[in-house]
Amino acid sequence: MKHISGYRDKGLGKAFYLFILPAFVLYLIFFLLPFFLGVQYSFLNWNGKTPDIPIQMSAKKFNLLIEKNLPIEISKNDFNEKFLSKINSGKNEIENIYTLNPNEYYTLNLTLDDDVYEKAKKILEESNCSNLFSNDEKNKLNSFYELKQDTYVLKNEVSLLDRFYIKKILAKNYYHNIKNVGFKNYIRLFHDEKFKEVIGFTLFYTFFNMLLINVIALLLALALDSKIKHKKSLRTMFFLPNVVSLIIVAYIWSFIFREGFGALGWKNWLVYENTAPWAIVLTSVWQGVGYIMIIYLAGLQSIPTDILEVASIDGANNWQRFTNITLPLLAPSMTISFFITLTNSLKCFEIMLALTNGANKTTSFVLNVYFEAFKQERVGYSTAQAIILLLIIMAISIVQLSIMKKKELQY
Amino acid sequence: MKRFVLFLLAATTLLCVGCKKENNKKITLHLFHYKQEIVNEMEEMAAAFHNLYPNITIETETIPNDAQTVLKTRLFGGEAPDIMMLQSYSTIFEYAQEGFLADLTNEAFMENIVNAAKKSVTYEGKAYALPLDMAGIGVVYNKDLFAKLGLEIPKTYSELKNVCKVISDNGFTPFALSIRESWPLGHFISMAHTASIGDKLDAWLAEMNAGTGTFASEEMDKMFEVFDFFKANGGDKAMEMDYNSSLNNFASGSYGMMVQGLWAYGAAMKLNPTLNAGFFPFPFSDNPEQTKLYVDTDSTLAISATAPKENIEAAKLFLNFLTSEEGVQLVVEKFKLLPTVKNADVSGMQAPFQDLVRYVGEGKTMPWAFSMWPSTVFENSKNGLQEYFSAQKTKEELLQYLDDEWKKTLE
Repeated sequence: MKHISGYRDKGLGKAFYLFILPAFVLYLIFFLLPFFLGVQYSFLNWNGKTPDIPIQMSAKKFNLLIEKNLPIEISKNDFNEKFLSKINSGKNEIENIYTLNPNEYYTLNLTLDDDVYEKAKKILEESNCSNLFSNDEKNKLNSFYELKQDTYVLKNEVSLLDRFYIKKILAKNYYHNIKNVGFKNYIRLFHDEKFKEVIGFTLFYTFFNMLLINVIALLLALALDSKIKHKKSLRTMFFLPNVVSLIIVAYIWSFIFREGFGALGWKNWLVYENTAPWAIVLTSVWQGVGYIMIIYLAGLQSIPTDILEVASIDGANNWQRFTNITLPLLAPSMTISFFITLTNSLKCFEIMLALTNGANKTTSFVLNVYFEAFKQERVGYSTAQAIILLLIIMAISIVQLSIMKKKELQY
Repeated sequence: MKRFVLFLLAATTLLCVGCKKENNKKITLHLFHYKQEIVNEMEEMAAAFHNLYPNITIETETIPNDAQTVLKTRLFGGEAPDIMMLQSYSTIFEYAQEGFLADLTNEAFMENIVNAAKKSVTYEGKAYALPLDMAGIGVVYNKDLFAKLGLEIPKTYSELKNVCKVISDNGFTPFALSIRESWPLGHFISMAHTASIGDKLDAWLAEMNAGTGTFASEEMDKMFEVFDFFKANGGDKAMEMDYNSSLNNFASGSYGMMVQGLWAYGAAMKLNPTLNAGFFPFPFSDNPEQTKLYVDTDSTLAISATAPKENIEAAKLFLNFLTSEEGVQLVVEKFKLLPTVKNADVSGMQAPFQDLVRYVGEGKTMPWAFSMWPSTVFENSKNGLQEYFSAQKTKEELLQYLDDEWKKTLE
């Protein structure tokens, strides 16, 4: 063992890292970077529309920001910490020109006379808490925006790098087009009734989807592994729903629930609160069973027949052979099947979208993330939800894998 | 010498022609819209414009579903279309607030627009879009069925009850509903609410935006009786119908009425070209004076503030063309939409449109309050009423839910 690791340290090390470098760079750009950007978004109060820097600004605002160095909008904390605590005289003058909004932000009153602002500027300068823009920064800002009538409009040719620069300059004067709200998005999760309902449905769906798919798939695999006729065509038939896209499966079943059930005189399961979740589980089990069945079938066929034969010679009946030999030897297949169905169920999205569009308490976790981001326009909050989902999936999968791995047998 | 002068003259004229061509450089505009009914017609409009201004080409793009989601990502990604179609009121206001839209207040074509339509595009005193068409929401009714049963247009809620009774007594169904698909419900609940507060809409909106208003009121309580009555008169399977099935039902002739916008009339006509239909306002109360048609500016066209200068100027030419005599004629004949231009000739339009024009002329209209609600509140009102119909929310819970959703937008 020793000499192998030594060998690796000497020669193979560099080659190894060089070899994985291209893949690692791709991984960095397409997975890790977006992931950390996502984490960052979850701390923002972003609605999906607000640009990172202002595109248009009234001339009055622009001049107050640049010439008078007065923050247009500033969070309560910053205002107290950076201004009020430092000012010796003239606190009132400053407080009077700002109004506190319900979202805990102070906004500058824009309708006052020029000398009021001038005075405020002086007070801030005397107390050394004004963040003066350098001439260079002022010129830069002026060059990025052009005056049209009474509005400054961002020039068309401003590049991505310039945007970063503008953002940095404006941040100096506490101007953030998209506001940071800290952990508020995460705290909000605990008070959100809809979110609790969504978690409840997702767990319900995950439990029954996982259980039913695995039980039925195992039964089908056992049947196909026995000596019945038309094995191949049956196997194809069972697997066929898996070839069809989930969205199309959903449309087929929504037709069955509407027309087929209607012809039998039954209610349409999809439109009632107590049946809709079961309708979704039914559809998804029908679709998902074929794939898992193939995994179990492969597992069954890899069990050596000699062991089973020995057992029957020893006098074991069918049930004993199944529980004592087949099942334990199927453990690896079970681990992977449960893992696949578990993670897929937690991430389910398109089947609810196509069958009910989330109505009748069938909004899954991911569907809710989508609704929050694009219908409710709370992108920051929905990102926080998505990150919680990641943690949940990781936690459940690790527990499931570690438990089931322990039960696996080697022969 | 003479020849030389002539040659010089010829050369300079040629040069000048060259200069002129240089000024008329080719411009391609990108137009984004969501009206799937007029995909080809919009292209014809662009072609007619191209004939007038050969150097400007307009490429149209139609995104019928989730247009706002697509547009949002484009705008944030800095790939704003030069001309974009936006729903009137809050959509425009929200985009204008973020600075995405160019100021059109002082453009000549705004002079051609009727004053009633201007409110829907004016944010903080500036016009940000050109109102394209007016649309009405009310009751589309089957004229032949009404004539056969000897029914007249109901002007009060009691008369409507009577009409429904006669229709069901004769073996027909009064309303073709769509509850499974929730978007038409949003129009219905907002229409009822607007009727319930009458002419106090502006004051109520101000209260809501200050965080002190509420949806609940004595008048709104009565509206829930109307909702129950509405659902009870939609046939046994009202809960299972979506928009398309309600259109099919209405077009089949065995349903008397459909609470919808006039766009649904056009769609039903496609299913049954012999359909003879009319249009009247939904009577929510027993005072005929309060029965008003829900009509307002529907779609508008805005110009991106971040587009290159020459594109903005070219886009303005296109908007100007739309309000010209030729443009208005195309809007009426090709788009089959009711123009918002002063003194437009609409005598060639179909019967329900003529009904609408008559109500507008009599001043018996109320504005589309749902367009003034924050877009997320309107979105949630759709599912809210759906959940009320399926008994998942009580009257009180629904109103409280809408209040809460509005408050969330103020944070």
